[in-house]
Order: sequence, then C-alpha cells, then structure tokens
Amino acid sequence: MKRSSLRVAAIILAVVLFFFLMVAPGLLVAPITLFFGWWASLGRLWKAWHSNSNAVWLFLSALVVLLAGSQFFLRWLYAGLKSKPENNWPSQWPWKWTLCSFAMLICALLAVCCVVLTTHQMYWISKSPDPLFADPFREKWSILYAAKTLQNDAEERHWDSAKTRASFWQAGSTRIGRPVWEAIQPVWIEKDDHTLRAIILIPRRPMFHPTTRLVVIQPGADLATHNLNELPQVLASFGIGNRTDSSNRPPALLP
Amino acid sequence: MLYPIFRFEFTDRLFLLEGGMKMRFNSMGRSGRGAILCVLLLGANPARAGMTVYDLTDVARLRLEDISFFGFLLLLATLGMRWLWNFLARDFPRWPRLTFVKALSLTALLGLGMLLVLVMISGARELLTPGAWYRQASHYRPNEIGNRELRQQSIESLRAALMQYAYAHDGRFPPHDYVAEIPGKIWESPDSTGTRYLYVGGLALSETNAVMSCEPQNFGDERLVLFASGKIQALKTAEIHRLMGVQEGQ
Repeated sequence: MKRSSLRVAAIILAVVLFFFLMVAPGLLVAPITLFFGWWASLGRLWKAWHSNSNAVWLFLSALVVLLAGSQFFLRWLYAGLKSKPENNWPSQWPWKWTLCSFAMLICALLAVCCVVLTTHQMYWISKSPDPLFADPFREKWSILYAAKTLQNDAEERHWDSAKTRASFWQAGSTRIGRPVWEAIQPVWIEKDDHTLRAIILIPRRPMFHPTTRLVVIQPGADLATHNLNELPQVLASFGIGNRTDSSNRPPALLP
Repeated sequence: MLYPIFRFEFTDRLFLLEGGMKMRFNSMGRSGRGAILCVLLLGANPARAGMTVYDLTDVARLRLEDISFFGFLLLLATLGMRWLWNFLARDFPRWPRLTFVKALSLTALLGLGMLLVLVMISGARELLTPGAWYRQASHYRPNEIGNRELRQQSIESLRAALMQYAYAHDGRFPPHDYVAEIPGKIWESPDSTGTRYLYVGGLALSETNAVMSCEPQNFGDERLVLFASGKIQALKTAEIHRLMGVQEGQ
C-alpha cells in the first residue's frame, strides 16, 4: 500500500516536472539556485575578501585575550562557588568548557546572522519593483526593436539631429508600458551641427548582464550589437569617452 | 554558461566522443549511462522556438544565491552547535544529547528571537520618529533634510556643469552624457547604484522651457527635473512625460 502510494507520488512529481520542463524550464532554476547557489555566493565572497594582516593579527590577539580572560575569570568563580569537592566534577574549571562555550556562542551568532540576512533578502525580493523572472530574449529584442524603430525614423528624417531626437523622446509607451527612453539611454553622436553620425542605445537597468547588448545604429549599416562591457571601446571608436573615470562604466548590477 | 567539451553521437549503439574514443553504450553500467545522460542534459543549449522563456533576472539570481549561502551557513552552524553540545555533554551525564533536528530548531529559534528584537527596535524607531522615513521606489530612506538636500545638491552639480559647458560652447548643451568636459560622477544620480540621470542632449540655453534632465524612474513617481533654463522642479512622472511631448497611445 505504502509502496503504491509512493509510486503515485513519484508519477505525479514526474508529470509536474515534465510540465515545467515543457512549459517553462527556467522556473526550475529557482529551486536549483537555492540548492547549489551557495557555491557561487562563496566564490563572490572569496573574491571580495581583502585580507589585511594587521587586522587579522589584531583579531587573533583580541580573541586570545578574550578566551584567556574568560578562562581565568570562570576558574576563579568556579573555585569560589564550589563549596565541597564532588567526585564527578573537575577540581578546577577546564579549558574545554570555555572553548566550547565560546564556539557555541559563535555558532549561535552565525545562525542568528543567517536568519536575519535571509529575512532581509526575502524582503528585498518581495519589495523589488523588478521581476523575479523575465524573458532574456524579450529584453534583448526590446532594445533591438527600439533600435530598429529609431533607425527607420532616422532614415526617414535623413539623420537630421533635431528631428530624430524629437522622434525618440516623443515616442509613446512601448510594449514595456513606458516610453522607451525611461528604459534605454541614447548617446547621440553628431557628424556636424545638423546631422547624426551614429546613435548608441544602452539599457539603463539591464536584468541579464551576460546577454544584454548595447546597439549601435549608423546610417546605411546594419544594427551592430555589443556586450555591455565593451561600452568604453565602442565609445572610444567614435572618439568619445576617453576620460579615465566612471563615465564609461556599464550600468551597475546590485544596490 | 559552461558547455561540455564533448560531442556525442549515438550511432548503431556506439557512443562516440569527439576525440575518436568509442564506447559501447549497452556495455556501460547503469550509473555510467546515468552520468552520460546527466552531462547531456546539463550541457544542452537552450533552444528558442517562439515561446516565452523565463529565467531568473541577475539581481534575483544573486539574491537567491545569497539565501542559499545563508542556508548553507545555518546548516554548518547547526552541525557545529550539535557537535559542541554533545562534546560538552560528556562532562555532564544529566545533559540530554542534541539531535540534528533539535540543534536546527535551537539555532532557528535563536535567529527568530534576534529577528523579533530587531523588529521591536525598528517598530520603536517608527513610533518614536514619525515621518522620519519616506518611500523611494522599493526602499525606505531617512526623510531627513540631508537626504532631500543630497538629491537637490546632486542635480544642482549637474546643472552647474551643464551651464559651464553651455557657456563655453555658444550656449549649446552637450550632445550626449559622455562628453570629456564633464566627469562621469556628475551624471550619476544619488541612488544606491548610481543610475545615470535621464539626459536630453543637444538643447540650447534659449530653449528655456525644455526638460533637459531628470532623475531616473527608480526615484519613484515624483522626480527632480532640470530645465534648460536652469530651473529645478519636482514633478510627477505623468507630468514629465507630458512636458517631453510623449504621444500616448502610439
């Protein structure tokens, strides 16, 4: 009986998994990330770690002082409270008890930090205006679609700077429910006072950094896409953005 | 994403690896076949067939990875607690031994206890300082004058830099926000990620009523707007769209 119900449960699970794999395999990424994501997080933490020998020595010295001080205090207290010798109890407070107590305290504090930080992460996820799941292809195509539309507009207006700009800024809400310039940053590269040489479109807040592209629109040329990290090189190819500050930095990822 | 370096072909029950190595699929053990199928599944490229494909966004992925890391640390802390307790309990025969579930419950309870304390502190903060916080998109920020001033100061710095540029270029503002004369930091709004201000390039000083720059959308519905005249005003998003001449319903 128990075995047959297990089989039924396994079949149901398989059907559900099959459904997910067929309809939206990306949704399975969430539980997989929850199970194995700690490894990537650990890697990030390791990269962000900057050890300072002075700070490490200071920490170790403080730890030794704390442990030794606690040990001597507890030994004194134990000796003072102990009225008569008992067979089962040690004659003086052992180091083992001090060390174990502090180790348990550290474990408890670590657990407390984990619970509190997990709650904060869940809060941020629940309150974030950005979606948890999105279609990376859609993001890619949105900017391509916007670029194609702008290229057509620019061609119609013979790459007239003022008219092309006006067409871009006055375009109404797109499929993403807001004007395109709220989501995409244009860089207008002028040939002369009246004509444009190129337009670079950069997503303002990309949701998929590895797949998100910036698009370069030029007269009589196909749309050229580049990785976001290539922004400084793309700008430099047009002779702009040669300052060594953060102006060429691609959009930031995390608050 | 990592992809397997092998190329597999099933031909006549032979399993070919790219290097020319041949393996008889039927002769493999169950675990061997399972391992190969796993490699095939994990290394499969996503196929685009017209359907919507959902994936975790970068930020969501990072957050979930962090949650996973905290969960992993919690398990480690639980194991440490259990081992230490039982090690210490050898000296105290009356102490009960701690199982993993009990140790997990203990650490979780400690965590919840601390969470309760933090909630009480934040509740007291709200009660004792009414109106001290304001909502900015998904975050709450201190409603102190300093923070409002920071936003104001930031856009004023941008205004100063733009005006200086315009005076040096016959009254024309920069064509884009990557000009060498203005440092990149000036273009960054004072949010946590330094999102760039929205900038309408190529305007002139004479276009006094034109919107030249404004805070990005993550500043909420009311954003500071800089006009070409140099005026700075807080406006709602709909009003900004109207001033930009956005043609709704396109």
